[in-house]
Order: sequence, then structure tokens, then C-alpha cells
Amino acid sequence: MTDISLKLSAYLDGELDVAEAAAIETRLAADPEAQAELDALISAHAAAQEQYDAELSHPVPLTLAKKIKAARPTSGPRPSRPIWGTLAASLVVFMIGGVGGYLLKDQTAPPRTTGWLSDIADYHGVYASQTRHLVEVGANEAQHIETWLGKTVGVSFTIPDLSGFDLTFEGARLLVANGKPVAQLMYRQGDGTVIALCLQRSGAPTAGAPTFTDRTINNFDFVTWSAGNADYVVIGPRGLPGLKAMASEASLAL
Amino acid sequence: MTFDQFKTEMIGLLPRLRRFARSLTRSGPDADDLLQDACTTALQRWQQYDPAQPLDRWMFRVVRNLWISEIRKRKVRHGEGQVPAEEATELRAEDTVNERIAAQQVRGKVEDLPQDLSQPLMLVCAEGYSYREVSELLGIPIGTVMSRIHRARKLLVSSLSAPGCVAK
Repeated sequence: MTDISLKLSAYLDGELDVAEAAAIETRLAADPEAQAELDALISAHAAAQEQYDAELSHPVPLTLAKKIKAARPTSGPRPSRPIWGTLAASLVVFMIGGVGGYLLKDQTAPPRTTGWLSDIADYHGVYASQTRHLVEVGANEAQHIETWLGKTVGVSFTIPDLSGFDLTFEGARLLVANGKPVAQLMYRQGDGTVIALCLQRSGAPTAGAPTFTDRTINNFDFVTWSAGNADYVVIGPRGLPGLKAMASEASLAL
Repeated sequence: MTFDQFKTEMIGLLPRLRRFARSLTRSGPDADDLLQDACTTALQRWQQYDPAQPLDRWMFRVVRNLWISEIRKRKVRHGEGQVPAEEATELRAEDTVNERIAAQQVRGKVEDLPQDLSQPLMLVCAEGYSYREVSELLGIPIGTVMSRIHRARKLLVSSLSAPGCVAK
């Protein structure tokens, strides 16, 4: 490994000081071989970056997100009990929770439709922070999203245009909440704030004008409503103004 | 920062924490176990977290420290006695890689890179760490960080240009 070769890699990472970087640039201008090596390193860097980024698309275990959400703060700075003891205890708690009907979730959310909204809150917590991997299928395949998710979820829908709220449709994901498929349509505001519109087939059809309900779960604001054969929810960060107006606009388009 | 905010941020970090855990363990099941342990530990010690510092850096350190402890336990279980982290095979890199052979095995894929090369590459390439930050997190000199990242890229360059490369 030559010194120039090593420095090219550091140059690529912006790790050289001004004088060293200038020396490398002078060398690159006069040495095609060095330029070719830098080009190869850039290609390798891009290939690696793409592969590492792809790892972020793998679904995160929802059970772990639930455990974190259900955790209670410890009073002392350090635990006196070994980690494995705590883990075992938390497993017991979750087994009880599973058998007893999601007891832990009921402590933090209202009882009606808690399951699906609680799951949606967990998913939103994970995916809303994603930048390059916000969605599974991009907005450029809008028609496919409507067909694919409409068929999978069992609810025909049209992707609402919410550009009047500075929201750009980014694409969609298929989720599972409360044991049923959910279509998650993702929008992003100009400042990067992510808003999701989720829909799931309801147990019984709803007639008449929709009633919009606000609630807050896990630091996210929700506006829910039911219409036809589906339940809908718009979710955004806590305190975001205009969420109900977005829900109302979306309900007209859906 | 409240405990609820701490938890919400931690949930948002899970994909990146798991990627980091995978870079350490090179195994999906081991990475998930490590991630679960790290989250449990972090929740127990959340009062030690300084909100002035980025949470991802703090969490990466928790993951890394737990993995070192796990490696030491495995060494003891296998009858090899206590091993300093820097001497543990899983964390040692310099001069242990037969790069000519490795290039044939890498196939243009970062997952095929030796763990000791992939780990600093991931932190710089995907997480945007500086060499100094990688050095502090992994406990290795900056010069070693530089050479490992370079060697990782050179292996990828060699394997990408090799016949039969299956990257992408």
C-alpha cells in the first residue's frame, strides 16, 4: 500500500488538512494513474454506501420497539440487577401481556382500536426518521401502490393530493397492525416533517359523514375516522397544527 | 430530555443500531440479541446519558461495549481465559487478513469484508463518522482507522473488477 494510495482514501473522506488536500489535487491533475485509482475508490465507496443503506430497509423487530415503549424509568443511575435478570422479567411481563390482552399497551393508550393505533405509532417512530429509506415503493409507482395495497388491504383507495398542506407524497409501505394488513402512505413537508396516512379494512361498514377524533399516543398526534369498509388515521409529530384539516382533505379524496 | 423522549429517539435509531450490531456480530440472530441487550442497558442507564451529546453516538458505544463483554465471556467459556478486547480475534485486524484470498471472497459485497475492515468503513461511509470518532468508538489509533478503511475499499475495488462479481 503506497502513501499516495492511502492518502487518496483519506482525501475522499475529507480527512486531509488543506495543504495535504491541495497537494493531492495537484498530483491528481498531473497523474492519470492516481486519478484512475481515486475513481475506483469512489466507485467502491458508492457501492458500499448503497449496500449499507439497504440494510436500513430491513424491518425492525416490532416486539423490541414495544418493549422500549413500555419500559419504565429506573430511579437510580445504575441497575443492581444483572441485565439478563431484567430481560427475563420483561419477557415474563410480555408473556402475561400477550395472554391477558396487551395489558401494557392499555396503560398508555385508550382502549378502543388501541391495537392498531399503538402499532402504527411504533412503526411511525421507526420509519419517520428514515431519509433515503422512508418508503418501500416510491411515489413514482403511485398506480402500482393503489393496486397493490388496495388489493392486499382489501380497501380500494386513491392516493390523496395533500400538496395544499405543503405535503409531498413520497411513497408507501405495507405494514401489519393488530394482525391485519395496513397501507401506510407517507408524505413529507418542506421542512422534512413526515406525515403518514394509514388505512385498514374495518370490522363493520360505516355509513354517513365521517367523525374525526383526535388522540395522542407515544408522542404522536393521531386523527382517526371510519368510512365505508375502512378505518383511517393521519399521524404526525405531537403538536403539529392542521392535522385534522389534512385528515378532512384526505377523507374527501380517498 | 424526558424518559419518553429518550425512548422515542431510541426507537427511531433502531434500524441504524441494528446495522451497527450486524457489523460487529456478522450474524442476524446475534445482532438482534445484542441490540436487545443494548436497548435494555440504555433504558436502565438513561440518566447517565448527556442530552448535549448525540444519542446515536452514546448508543453505539453501549452496543460496542456489550459486544466486547460478550466476546470476553465467549473466550472464557471456550477455556481461553480473559482476553483483552484489543487482542480478541473478532476485534483484531491488522495484518491478519490475507487480502489476496479475501478479494476473491468479497464479491463486491460489504457483508463479505472481514469484520475488522467493514466496521470502520460502515461508520465512515454510512454513518458519516470522522476518523477520530471511529478511533474513539472502536478504541484503535487513527492511522489504523485510515488503513483499514483504505484496505476495505481496495478489496471492494479488486472484487468489483473480478470476473463473476455478484455485487448488486
